[in-house]
Amino acid sequence: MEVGQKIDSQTTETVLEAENIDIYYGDFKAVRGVSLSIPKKQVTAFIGPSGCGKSTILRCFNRLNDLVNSFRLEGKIYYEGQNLYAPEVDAVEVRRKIGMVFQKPNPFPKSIYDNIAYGARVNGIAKNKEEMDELVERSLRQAVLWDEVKDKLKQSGFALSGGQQQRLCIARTVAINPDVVLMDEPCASLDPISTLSIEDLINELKQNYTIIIVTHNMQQATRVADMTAFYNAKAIEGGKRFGYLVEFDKTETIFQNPKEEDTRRYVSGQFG
Amino acid sequence: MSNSVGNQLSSPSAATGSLIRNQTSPRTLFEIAMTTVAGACILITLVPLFAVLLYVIIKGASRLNLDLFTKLPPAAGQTTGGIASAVLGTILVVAIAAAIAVPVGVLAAVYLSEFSSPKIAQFIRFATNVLSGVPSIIAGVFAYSLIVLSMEQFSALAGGIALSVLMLPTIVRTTDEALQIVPQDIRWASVGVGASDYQTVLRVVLPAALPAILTGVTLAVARAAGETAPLLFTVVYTNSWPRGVLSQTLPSLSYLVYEFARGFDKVLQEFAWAGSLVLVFLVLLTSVLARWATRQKTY
Repeated sequence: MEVGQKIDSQTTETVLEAENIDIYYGDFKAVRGVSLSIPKKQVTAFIGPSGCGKSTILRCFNRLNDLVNSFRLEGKIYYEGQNLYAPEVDAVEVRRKIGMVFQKPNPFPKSIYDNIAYGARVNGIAKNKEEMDELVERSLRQAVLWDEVKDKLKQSGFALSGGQQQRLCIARTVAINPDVVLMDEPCASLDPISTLSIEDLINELKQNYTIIIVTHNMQQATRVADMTAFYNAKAIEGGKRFGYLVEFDKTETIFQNPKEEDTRRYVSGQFG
Repeated sequence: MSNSVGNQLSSPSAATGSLIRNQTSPRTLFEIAMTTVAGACILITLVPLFAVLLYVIIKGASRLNLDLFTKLPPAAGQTTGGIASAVLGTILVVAIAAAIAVPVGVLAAVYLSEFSSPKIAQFIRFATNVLSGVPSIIAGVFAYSLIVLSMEQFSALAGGIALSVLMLPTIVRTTDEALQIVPQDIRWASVGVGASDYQTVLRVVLPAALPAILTGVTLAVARAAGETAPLLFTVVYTNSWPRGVLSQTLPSLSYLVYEFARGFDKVLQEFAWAGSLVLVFLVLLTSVLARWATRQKTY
């Protein structure tokens, strides 16, 4: 339960592994042939132009796309050796282990306290009031929000600023102590100062969590990510486009010495 | 209509070529005529509303006193009394109806909005629209043939079931709309922290939609409280106190108005007016409550 007590090695062990995944919306194959391994307790960034499927792929890692009616995935995604899309796997359990922070801060219409406590309640994590209080405080501290909200835990989460709301959402995610935190452009709707505070937070969090972050902002990828995956979109007939993985490597390599021409052009700002 | 408008416009026409409005040009006359017609239609719409309210207040006020809410209707020959039993009876039968229609309607809307496929949802929405257009007397006949005939007795329960049929479409539709206003974001957020579908619905989505759902429920209650036709087939009217859910006899406001107003007894007719007044204000009160509930909306 206690964060930081996990007895995993510090090495580049793989937590999540996508094996040749294709993503369909209805009959359309929107993402094609993606394979990559996400290293443990590191930050992996997904970058690429709009429509390259990076957010879609991210949502496959905690089966959030199950909520989209026409969604279908082919291929396999392994989490600690288990195929997430095996028929006997419970998607609810998957999401409990692999949390998510969204693009727009989306606190529940509840108090700050209840926003954090919600995940623990539905999962039966805290046994009593003291444990819950402790969990709420610890989670808010991890999200570097505690000092700002400790006197107004009963107020609505909506009363906070955008940056605070996003840190509240991060606190909500870490409150259920997941292994992996997925972040879908978490700073896209925030001002530069809030963005910096979230980035600092990401650097803090990677000591305890594996993080995958989708970002439109290449500087952000260089600031926070150890590994970077570059996705691109290819136009096909009928005006449709599909996404695919171009290159996946250490962030420095992707930005300074990429193998693919498309990657070089993208990271140097020539398109996208 | 345009004639009378034309007569008002005796102002001199403006110089041509200037920017001053030409008061006699066909276009200006048409504008004025249309505004007048539209304004008149508003008056025609509002007159019945205020006329009814005013008439009911004037006619019913003479019996508006404490007795009205504490005593039984007068027996033959008496001149004093109240409509307390009918108020209670109406509350009882509407409560039965709400106890059936609210859970069923809300959960049906939950299925409709959260879990059904778009095709099924479209069909159910169409079906609820049809159901909301069913005349109330049909609901009465339905409850009569289904409940009264099979139980071989009239009952408040049968009346409640008939009214619940009328309440259902309103509740389903307003709840459905309320649930759809709740942003998709917070469903994803809830599912994202490991909540199951129904934990998400019960703990996040429904609470967020609650004010709007309450509005729908109060409107449905207001409508059901005023219905007479479904009760014609399902209960036997009485002036005495309601005697429970399975009792054959049941007093109710709307039925009391119907019974007393068509008789020739002047005293009873006064009570019919007083009953109308109470009924109108009950409905008005619930509508105001509904407004007040939506004012505090979440999204």
